[in-house]
Amino acid sequence: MLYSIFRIHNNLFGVPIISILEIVRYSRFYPVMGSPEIIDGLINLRGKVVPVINSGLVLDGEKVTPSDDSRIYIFKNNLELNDALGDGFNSEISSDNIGLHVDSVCNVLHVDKQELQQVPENISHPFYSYVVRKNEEFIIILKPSQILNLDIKPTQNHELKFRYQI
Amino acid sequence: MNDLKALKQFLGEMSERVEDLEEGLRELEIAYSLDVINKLFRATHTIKGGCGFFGLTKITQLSHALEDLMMKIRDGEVTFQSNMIENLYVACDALKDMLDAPDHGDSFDIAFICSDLSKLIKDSINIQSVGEAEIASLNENTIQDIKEIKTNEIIPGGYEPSPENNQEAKNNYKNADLTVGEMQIEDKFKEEKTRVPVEPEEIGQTLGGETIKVKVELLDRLMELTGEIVISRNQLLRQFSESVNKSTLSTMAQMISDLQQLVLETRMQPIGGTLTKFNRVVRDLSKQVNKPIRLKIKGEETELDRGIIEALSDPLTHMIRNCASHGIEDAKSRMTQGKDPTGSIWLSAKNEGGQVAITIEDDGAGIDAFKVKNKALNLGLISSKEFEEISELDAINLIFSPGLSTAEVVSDLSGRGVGMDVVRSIVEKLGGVISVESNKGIGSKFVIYLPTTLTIMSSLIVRIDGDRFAIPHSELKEVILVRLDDEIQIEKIMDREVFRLRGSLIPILEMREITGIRNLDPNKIINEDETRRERMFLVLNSGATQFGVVIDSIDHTEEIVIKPLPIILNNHSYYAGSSILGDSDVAMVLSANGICQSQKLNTQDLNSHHTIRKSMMEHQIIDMQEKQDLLVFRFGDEHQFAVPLSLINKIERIESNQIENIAYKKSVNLDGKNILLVFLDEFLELPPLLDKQNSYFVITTKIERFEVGIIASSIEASINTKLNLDAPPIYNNIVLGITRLHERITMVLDLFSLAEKVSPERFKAKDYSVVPLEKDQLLVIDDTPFFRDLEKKYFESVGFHVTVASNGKEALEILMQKPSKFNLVISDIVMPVMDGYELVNIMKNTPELLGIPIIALTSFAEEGHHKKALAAGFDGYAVKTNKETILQAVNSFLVAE
Repeated sequence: MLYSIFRIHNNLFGVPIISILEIVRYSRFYPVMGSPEIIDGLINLRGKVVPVINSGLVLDGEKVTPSDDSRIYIFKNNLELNDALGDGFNSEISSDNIGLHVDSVCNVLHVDKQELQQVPENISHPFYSYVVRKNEEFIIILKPSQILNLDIKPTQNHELKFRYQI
Repeated sequence: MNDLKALKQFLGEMSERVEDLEEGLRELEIAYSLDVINKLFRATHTIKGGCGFFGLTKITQLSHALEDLMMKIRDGEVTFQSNMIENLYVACDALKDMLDAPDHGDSFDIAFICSDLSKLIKDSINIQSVGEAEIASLNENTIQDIKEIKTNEIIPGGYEPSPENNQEAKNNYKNADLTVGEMQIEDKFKEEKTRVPVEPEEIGQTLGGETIKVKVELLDRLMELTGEIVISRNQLLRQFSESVNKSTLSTMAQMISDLQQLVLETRMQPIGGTLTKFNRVVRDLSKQVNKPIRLKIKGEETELDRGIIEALSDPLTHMIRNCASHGIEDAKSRMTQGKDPTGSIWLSAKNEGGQVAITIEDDGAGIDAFKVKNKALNLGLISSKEFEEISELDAINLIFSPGLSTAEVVSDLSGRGVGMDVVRSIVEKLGGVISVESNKGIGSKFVIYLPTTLTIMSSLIVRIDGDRFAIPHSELKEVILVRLDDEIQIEKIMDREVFRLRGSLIPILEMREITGIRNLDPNKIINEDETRRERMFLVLNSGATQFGVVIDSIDHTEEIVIKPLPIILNNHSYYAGSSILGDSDVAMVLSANGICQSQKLNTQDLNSHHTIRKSMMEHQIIDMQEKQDLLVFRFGDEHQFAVPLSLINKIERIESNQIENIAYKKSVNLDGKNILLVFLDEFLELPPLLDKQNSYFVITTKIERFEVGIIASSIEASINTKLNLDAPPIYNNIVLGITRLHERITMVLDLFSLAEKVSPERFKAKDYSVVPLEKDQLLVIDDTPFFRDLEKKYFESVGFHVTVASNGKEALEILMQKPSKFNLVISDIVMPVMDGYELVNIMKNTPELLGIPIIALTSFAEEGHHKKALAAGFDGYAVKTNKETILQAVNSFLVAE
């Protein structure tokens, strides 16, 4: 299966290419007043309004800041994904297109099923599905469906940190 | 998977055919015609054929029995009788249920329905004395044969029966040993032949014209893209606005506009289907409630956005049910009232000035306003005071309040207490309004006005904290700008900001408060200074609740397409969605209902709170004086004075050498007139002006016959402020009082007294020619002790007897003790406890006090306040600091008597 590899701070992450609709440059975020910080805002994707999640904050790290290198992964919605998977498959990702803001795009890798390894206990995270060691590099494969279905609560009374539901 | 999809689509089409069937039955009920029978026949035929193809045996069986009956009626073998209708409806309902059932009716017991139907045929044929046995066998054969033909002909992918098949089938019939049946089957066969190729076209056909079915998602996407094209076009036009030859561009721009219009139209569909289904509803209801009711439908062709049509179905059902169960009386009581025993309900739709009006009217008993308000009182929706005062129309409108139902007996039809409030909220969600009219004994009428399209909404684009937001005009009531010097300001009650909007208190919210980010960052807490600026807010409506949302500025008005919130942001209920604006920016769309719910706003709480506060104020009168424009000037370096700007005519600068001495008095020539100069040190204990000053200012007044100029050494400012006057330290009647302006002690002059002092003969003698009689009693109402005393002094100086009160409530108490005592009431407008407007309202509605003229007295001299006061019911109006007009006003009323 093909994976698109991207960088968040100094770590490499991958998501299955089939789940991605497109990757766009950072243009402009329109803030949603009242949304938690992990929502960077909305972007105008050729007439479609797409919310963008800050990958850094989702993965408990530092915030990814917009730069020339930063990119937004636009994930397919359920319909688009199932169309791509073809008949007989039924997979859930998210009912809307959602963007994930990352530091930079690296490359596309072919990873065989047997190369996927369990996530070591010490770095276990609800959004990690597997790890891969390839070309001396350590790549974490993410579960997009988990990230895109976060239970986002509007900010209320000092509550700055979002709570993710596992 | 494909099969399943096809079946699903097929079932959808079959439901439409069943609807045709229902409609046909209703028509049949009114009058028999061959056309209707043909229609019914076609519908059952299609159902039978299709279900046979998909192997839905039970449905095929039933529709066949139905078709058989139709065919026989059509061919005149069976005479149609109105008692058949009931059976037909039963069959129709069964078909409907079977189509909806998960097993497509395989588990249904339809034998009795089928046997009932065939019994109808038999009975009828018996009458026509045709051999029973013969027909029975014929029936059986026909069923078998036709089934064969169908299966032969309907081949997936090709509807046209092949000639061979035709021939073969024909031959089959030729060989059949049937004589009586032959002609009939030939007929039947012809019917099959002509019908089958037509079917695919007929499916999905609406009113006239050729149509095809298109997926809604496709239309939505088309719509989005068109929106984006429009935006790009606008950008292009801006980019090439300088270029000389842009004819191609403008042609394209025009075409894009047309395209957008057409795409919008694709979402429109006639409301007909939704309206006509009520025929059945009314028919059933009529049976259930045992009242004869007829429904008349008009305007089925009226087009609306499909989203709106879908959403309308439930509220309309509810209202029609209401008409049938509450509105229409039973036949007996209708007869005694001289009405047609059959009740009527009219349901109509029509285009009306860019909107669609849907009317639901009945000729029933109407809404009993008293019952409604009684119920509202019992539920605590209105107070007993409101109960007395509420107008009939307002009372009827209470039916839109939650939990209110006037049905005495709660039935399964209505009276469950959920109802018109839900109807109203649905209508409002669609951007519409609903109104009600009712005449007791004649009927009631509901009108729903709706925008024709849901997706495009005219909205106001505003800025809040740098971000842009859109608010649909349908939810926006008004925009209010509160200036620093306005009469009514945003006040604070229990840490919540409120605004008095035409008598009711509305909460004022900041977006930061709504979104909950207000307290997030301690640096963002608004400091007190910020509240001392001009503020603008939107007044939004959510049902009966009104509230304000503070904005920074207004951008413009735009037609926007509202896109639903992505699910990930669903918890942000204060947004209705987002939208892409003309310049391709994204703006959040505010939702009045959402904000109201998320903030749990309840204006009633606030108002009752206000009442508590009011009673507190009775003990401690809070200074709520009006503001006034003042001209501030100095006499010498030390002494500052102020006069009401409304009394100032002109300010001119003169050189000291222009001052002339005439008969020991100083005067100056301005515009050809000799103006007597007034040096304030002559009237007040002030140090005289030093001679070395080269120029002075001369202030002339608007007071008639007081052609003097007041000398000022410098003009400081013209300000608008609350006048907090203290009594002057030294009694002197040309000083109204002292106050602090611009960090200085300032004396506010009473120009009329000054005029009297300067030329006593002219004023006293001419002006106050009215000699008040002993009985002339005045009631003066003012909350500020200083002004109250001043006014009292004015009137007493010309001979009136004056009683004083400090607010409207106190005044009412005094008046009610002895209404005949007073000839005239002079009242301030802005007062605590009960203001002037409220007072005048009560006085004009109290018979004993109706005859007493009341004059408004305020410090505002502007025309607007004048009109407002007269409109509120005041008989006259005078400016507080203007003694002359006060006395004139008083004079005119006493003389008129």
